[in-house]
Amino acid sequence: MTPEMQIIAVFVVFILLLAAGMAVPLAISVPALIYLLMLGGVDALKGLGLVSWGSMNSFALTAIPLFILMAELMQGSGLSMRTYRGLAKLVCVIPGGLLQTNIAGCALFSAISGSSVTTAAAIGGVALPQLEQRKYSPSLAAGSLAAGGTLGILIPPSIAMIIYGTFTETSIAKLFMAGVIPGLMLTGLFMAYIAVHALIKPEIAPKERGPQNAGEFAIAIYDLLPVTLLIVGIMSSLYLGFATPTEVAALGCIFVGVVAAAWGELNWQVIRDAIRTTVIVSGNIMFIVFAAFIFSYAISMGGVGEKLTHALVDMNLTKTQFMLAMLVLFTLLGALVESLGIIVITVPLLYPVLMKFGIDPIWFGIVLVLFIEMGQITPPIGINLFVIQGLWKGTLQQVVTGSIPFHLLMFVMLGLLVAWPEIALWLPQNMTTK
Amino acid sequence: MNTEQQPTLGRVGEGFLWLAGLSLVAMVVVIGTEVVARSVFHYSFEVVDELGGYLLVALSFLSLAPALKAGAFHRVELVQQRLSPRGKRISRKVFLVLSLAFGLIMSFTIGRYVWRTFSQGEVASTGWQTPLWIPMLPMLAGIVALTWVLAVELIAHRGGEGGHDA
Repeated sequence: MTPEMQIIAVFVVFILLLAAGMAVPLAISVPALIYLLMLGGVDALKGLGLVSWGSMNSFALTAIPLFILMAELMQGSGLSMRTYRGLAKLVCVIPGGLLQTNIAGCALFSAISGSSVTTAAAIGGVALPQLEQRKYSPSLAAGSLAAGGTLGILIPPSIAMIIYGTFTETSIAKLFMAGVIPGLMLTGLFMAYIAVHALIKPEIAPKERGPQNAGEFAIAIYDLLPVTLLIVGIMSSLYLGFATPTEVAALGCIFVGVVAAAWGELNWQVIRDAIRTTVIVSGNIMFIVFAAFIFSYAISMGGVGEKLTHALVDMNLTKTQFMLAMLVLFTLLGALVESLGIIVITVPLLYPVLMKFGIDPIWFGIVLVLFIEMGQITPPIGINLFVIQGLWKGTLQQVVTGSIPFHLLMFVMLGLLVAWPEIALWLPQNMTTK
Repeated sequence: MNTEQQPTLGRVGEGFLWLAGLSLVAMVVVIGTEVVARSVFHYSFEVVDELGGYLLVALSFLSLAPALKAGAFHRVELVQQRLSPRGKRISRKVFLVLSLAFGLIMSFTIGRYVWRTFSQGEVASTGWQTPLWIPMLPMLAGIVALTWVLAVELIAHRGGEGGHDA
């Protein structure tokens, strides 16, 4: 078999295993081992011990379980619920009412959680019963939560950015900062769409009462205070270079623990459950990362990255044509492959190509995250669609229909990022690095 | 993603889950202490990068078996949902056999690497000069536990029992 045929065969095995329903990390690892065996027989496996240790012994990746723990503590201790309550009181006066709170709540929770699934589940679990009870448009309610949840990986902290940064040796703190303005702009676009939609079709969202007096306003602010302090702490520490993302994550866990204890909603059961869930969720994510390192080792042994770079350079594509090709590739992958899977499969292959085309790796990281966000609400496997469907009584079709306008707005955001890369690059260019 | 009902993980799964949990708590304590010491007392223990890395390796590998037992690995369900019960059984068996092969290969290669590190007396190039086989042990234990759980699943599958998500 020629080397090219070997690569194609391995990718076919990967896609088949993945589509057939094998666990994602194993569907990545098994073809990688097959490819290694094809390349050099049993001898090619000798390096796997060193690869396993060398790749996973990483201080930067430590941020992943810590950010998961922080979000779990927030949720388990009732801080998320309290935050949503405070936010709902302040934001629901905008046309669209609680639909606006969905987006603002997701954006706020995204600044604590690094995962879209956690964000969608946290806000969806609190919001959906109220939205159903108050007769909001079911598809828009579900769609806004599925799409709002995707902000989890664009607004820092972001597990997707930590993994991208680790594989490309790009500053994770800079990636986090690069996600801030696009994340806020996308939040604004989502909220503007809901407001316009609610003004044109008032039946989609009943009118809500905001705070009726200074006391209610003060309570709402009080409910939002701990999370606001946490977010300000995270962002300012990163921007000013006081701490690395990992250090911020550890301090965030301690802060959430202290605040939850002070509010009387933290007990051993909450801590136990948070640790348990964090370990199980981390087991999945870190296995995907580990599988990706094995995959990356296999393709570097085969020189696939270099071959792909040469092939693409020989095609004499312009930068715009290359980006259009990426758009097609990631839209297709987004519909077929799970989000972290997209990063770990494509980044080791495409990173050398990016350098050849002079594409800024920080900017590309944000574009990649946007592609992944779209994938998370693209049928048939968009994970956020299933998270929201699992939380309510409606159909998957309603969730999909409701998320389509938000999907289109993500394309608008993508266009803005391509036209004005400074949207992503301005903050990282002006920060103090750590 | 707090679950109302926690999945049953079995003795191996529970044991490894709490060992991984200890690594997680240790991470928070070690890194948190370092930041506070550095910011407040302008003192660094200068071991946090090393310890953090070791703890992440421990957490990552020790959590594999519990995550498998909890059915936490992401999967694409599209084709599975359309398969007949027989098709599902066959595909599960193929996945389990392939996964077990992966587990055995990785257990062997990691085991050999840890043994070589131990026998050659390799130490970390840090102030502590940690004998590297010590932080590598959880990596070996975790991959062996995953392989064990997969083997038990395959045997259970042959006996017609349900399983988890290889």
